[in-house]
Order: sequence, then C-alpha cells, then structure tokens
Amino acid sequence: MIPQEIVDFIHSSQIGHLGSRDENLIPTIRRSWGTNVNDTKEILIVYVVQAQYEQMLKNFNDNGRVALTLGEWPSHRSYQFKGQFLKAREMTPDEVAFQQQYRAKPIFLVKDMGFSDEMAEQFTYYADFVIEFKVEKIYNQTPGPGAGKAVELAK
Amino acid sequence: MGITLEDLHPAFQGVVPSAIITCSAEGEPNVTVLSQVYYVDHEHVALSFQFFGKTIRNIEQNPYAAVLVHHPETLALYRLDLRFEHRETEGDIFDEMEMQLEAIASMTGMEDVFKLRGADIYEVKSITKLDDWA
Repeated sequence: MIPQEIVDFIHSSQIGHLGSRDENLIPTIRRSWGTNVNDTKEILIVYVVQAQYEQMLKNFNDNGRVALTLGEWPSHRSYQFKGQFLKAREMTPDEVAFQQQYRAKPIFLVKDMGFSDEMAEQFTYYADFVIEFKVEKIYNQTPGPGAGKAVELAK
Repeated sequence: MGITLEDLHPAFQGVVPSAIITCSAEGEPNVTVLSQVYYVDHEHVALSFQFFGKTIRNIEQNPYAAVLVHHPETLALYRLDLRFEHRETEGDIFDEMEMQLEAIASMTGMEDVFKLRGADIYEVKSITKLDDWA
C-alpha cells in the first residue's frame, strides 16, 4: 500500500513523466498530466494524451513494466513509482473534472517561471486517457543524500 | 529537413528541467529528473553524472536512453533518443559542464547538493518533436 505521506505528495505534484521499454530494451518516455490513487492505495491512475501513447501502449501490452516519476517544484521533491501495467481505458466524467482541476498546478508553475498565460495554457494538455498500474516499488528521487532509497510500502 | 541539435541549443541551458529514461539489463525502466543536458557537437550531447544511482548502473548494462527537453522560448517538448559512448571526468567539456551546473544549482537553491562527478557523452540517434502547437 502506498503510504499516506506519498499519497499526499502524488496529489500535490505538478510534473509527471511516464516510461516504458520495448522488446529490445530501448526505453521511451512521455509526459503525464495528473495522477490519482485508487481506494486501496495500491494502484496509480495516470492521466495521459492517448494520441501521444501509441508506442507506450504497445510496450505496456508487450511487457507490462511501468516507471512513473512525479516531481514538485520548486522543492525538487520527487518520487519514482515502478510496477506492472494493469489496463488502459477512457476517462470517466469524474476523472475529466479531476484532471481539469489538476491542470491549474502546471499552469501556475509555468507562469511562475515567467511564461505568459497563453503559453502556460498551451503547454498544459487536457488528458483524455488513463493508464493504470499496480505499484510494486517506490523510490525517493529528491536530490540529496536520500536519493535512490526505497520507500517502505505501508501494510 | 529534420531537427538538428543546433536548433535545440537554447534547450540545453537548464532553464526547464529535463527527464531521462534508461532500462536495466533485466528490462526494468527507470525515469528520473535531469538537471543538465549539454551540447557537445552536431551528433553528441553530454549528461551530468552527479549521483551513483540507477541511471548510471543501467547505462553501464544497456547503453540506450532517451531524454525530454523543453525549448525555453516556446516550451515545445523534444525527445532525444541516445546511446551512451563514454564518460569524461576532466577536460574542457567537464569543466564547462561543472560551471554550468554550479549556475543551475545557484538558481535553484541546490548548491550543496549538485556536484558533477562525470560528463557522460551520448550519441544522439534521433530527435523527435513531441508537441505540434509550437
């Protein structure tokens, strides 16, 4: 089970990168646009843009291995979640509402970096698709002495 | 004409953080945030090696990696597909990366954390623009 402290972090993070690899162990990476946790805190629900995920979905269906890194700026706090792909599906109406609320975070971040409202809006995608995976391991990736250390899953 | 590394020169100033993915010999992908991508020449970049982490272990087993970089003027996102070639721990590239990393650390309040251990040189196999709006 994902510890509550990390669940809180997941909800506050503004940056997401999802990764996979193909049958030749060649990795690929795309942005993700919001993450949620299921009721039992074992599954991550990641919001993405389907048109950008053709290769990623092929990889997930072929070998199932998933890596997701979420980051918080400007604290640099970051965690990586590794696990097994479960399914890809359309978003529910509740998830569409959740993701639209989530967009405010990266938009604020981009504006805080000095970019215009228009660029921040354009930069931040509306997700239209869901990747679900079961979390097996969590690693602290915040730069510093704790970087790379595994986070113990809750019972 | 395709996108060249020269076209992406502004993306290598560290204004917007990048991300890197590698994969272990056992097939486990690993994604991490990357503070620095450095232009070496028209077909190579250098990535900062700061911590003895999974990324470093992975590229020693499997040389393929990919990084995402944002153009700092348009915010357009590009993926560079890479193959690790070698590590430099001294010389002009290392020295320039060290100075650039110090500047990035200073801007982001990470002076006590960021320390360059090596400049990892990668061949750029392909560059893909991932956003169509910019």
